[in-house]
Amino acid sequence: MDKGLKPSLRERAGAEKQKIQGMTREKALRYIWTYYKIPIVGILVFIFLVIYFIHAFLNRPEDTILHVTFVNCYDDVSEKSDFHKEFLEYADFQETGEVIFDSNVFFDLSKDSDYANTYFQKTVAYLEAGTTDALVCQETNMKGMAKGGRILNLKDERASGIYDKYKDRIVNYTTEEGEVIPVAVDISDSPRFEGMSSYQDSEGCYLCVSAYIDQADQAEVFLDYLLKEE
Amino acid sequence: MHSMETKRKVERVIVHVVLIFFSIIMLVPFIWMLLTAFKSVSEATQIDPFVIFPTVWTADSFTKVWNNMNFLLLYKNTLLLIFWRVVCAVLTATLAGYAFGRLEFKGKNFMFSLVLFQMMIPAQIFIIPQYLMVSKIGMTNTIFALVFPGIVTAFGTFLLKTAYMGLPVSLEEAARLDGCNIFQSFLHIMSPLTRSSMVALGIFTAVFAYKDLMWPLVVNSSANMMPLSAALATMQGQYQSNYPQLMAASAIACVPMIVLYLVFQKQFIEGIATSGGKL
Repeated sequence: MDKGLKPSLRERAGAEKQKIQGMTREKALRYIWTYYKIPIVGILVFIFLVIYFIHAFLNRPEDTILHVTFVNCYDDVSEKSDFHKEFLEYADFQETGEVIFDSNVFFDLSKDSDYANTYFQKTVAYLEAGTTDALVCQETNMKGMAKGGRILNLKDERASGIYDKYKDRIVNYTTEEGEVIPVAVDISDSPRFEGMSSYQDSEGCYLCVSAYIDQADQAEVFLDYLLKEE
Repeated sequence: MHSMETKRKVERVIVHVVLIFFSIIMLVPFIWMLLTAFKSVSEATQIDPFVIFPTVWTADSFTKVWNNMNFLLLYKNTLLLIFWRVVCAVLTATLAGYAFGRLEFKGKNFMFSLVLFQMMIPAQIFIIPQYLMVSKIGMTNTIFALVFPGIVTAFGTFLLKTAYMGLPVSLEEAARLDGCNIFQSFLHIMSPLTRSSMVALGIFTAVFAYKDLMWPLVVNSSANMMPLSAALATMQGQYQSNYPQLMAASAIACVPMIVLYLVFQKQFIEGIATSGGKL
C-alpha cells in the first residue's frame, strides 16, 4: 500500500478480517454490529424489497376481462351479489376476478365542487389508465364525462357493434361547437335494475364506454345482459 | 402590589376561560362521534339539537361494526402504510436535505426550486399520473401502491435542508480533518444532530399517512388491501344512514393514532415547535 493513498476495499476487508480472527465469536459479532450495523440493515432492507417486488410482480392479479364502474349505486353489485353471479353465468366466465363491478364511486357533476371529489378523481384515473371499460351512470354525470372527452364516441369502430345493435337507445351529446356525438346507451329500463333502489329517479341510467378501451366487445356482452328480457 | 396580583389572577382566569372554550370547540366533533356511536339509529338521526346524550346507551354498533369489518387487517394495512411512509420519507428527505443543504454541485438551485415547486402544487394533481404509473407496473392493490406517493417528500426535503443549513460548518470541517469522507461525516456527525427534525418529519408523515383518503381509495380497491381511512369511506354506500355504526367504526379507527400520540406526545409537541407546522 502506497503511503498517502487510501486503502482499497480489498485491503480494508483483509485488515478487518485479520482483526476479527483474533476475537472470540461473541466479540466478533459485537464488533461487526458496532461498526457495520448500517450497511447490514441497508442490505437486509434491500434484499427484503427485492423479494417483495418479485413476489408482488409474480402474484399480481390477472388482467380483468371486464371492469365496470357504477356511479352512485347503493345496491350490492359486488362479487358476492346475485347481479354479479348472474352476469358471470350469462357471459360464461369461469372466475370471479375476471369481472369487476366497482360501486364505490359517488359524485354528482351538476355540482361544480364535485370535480374535486375523490371519487371523481378515482373514476378519471381508472378511465385514463384503462382500468375501467364501461361506466354506468346518470344523465348529469354522463354528460360531464362526455364533456371531458373520456367516454367513447360510439360511432368509433371499437364500439361499432354496440352502435349498430342499440341504435334506438343511443344518447347523443352536443358539444359547445354544436357537434353531435353518440356517447351512451339508455339502460334505464333494464330488467336487471328492477329490484334495485339505485337509478330509479328521473335522471335515468346510461352505459358509457371508456375512450381508452382497446375493444368494446365485453362492454357489449354486458349491455346484452342488462337489456335481455327475463 | 395587591392590585397587581389581582390583575394577574384575572388575566390568568380570562386566558384559561378562552383556552377552555376553544378546547371544547375542538373536542365537540370527537365527543359527538363517541356519543352517536352509543345511540340507536332512530335517535342518532332525529333532529333535536338538545338531545346530546343517548337515552339508552347501547354498544351494539361497536359489536356489529367489529364483526362486519376486519379491523385487524385494516390496522395491519394502516400500520404498514404508516411504517413504510415514515421510513422512506425520513430516509430520502435526510439524504436529499443534506445534499441541498451542505453540498455544492451543478444545478443545485434549479433542482431545489423543482422541489419547492412541487410543494406549491396541490397533491390532487399528481393522483392520476401516479395511478397510471402504479397501474402500468401492475402494483395496484398492494402495500407498495399505498406507500408509493410518500417515498419522497418535498416538505421533508425542505425541512431537513433547513436543519442541515443551521448546523455550523466547523463541525463538518473537523470531521474531514479527522479523515471522514462525505458519507461518514453525514452519517456520524451531521445526521445525528438533525434527529429532532427527523422525528418531526416522521410524526407529520405518520399523521398524513393515517388520514390520507384519496390515494388509498383510488389505488387499492380490494377490501383486503385498504387502510382504515378508505375502508371507512366505503361505509357510505353500505350503511348510508347508519350513523351509529359509522361513528363506532370511526372511533375504533382513531385508536392507533391516540396510542401513537400518547406514546410520542413529547416528540409531537417538539415536532410542531421545530418545524413551525400544523397538523
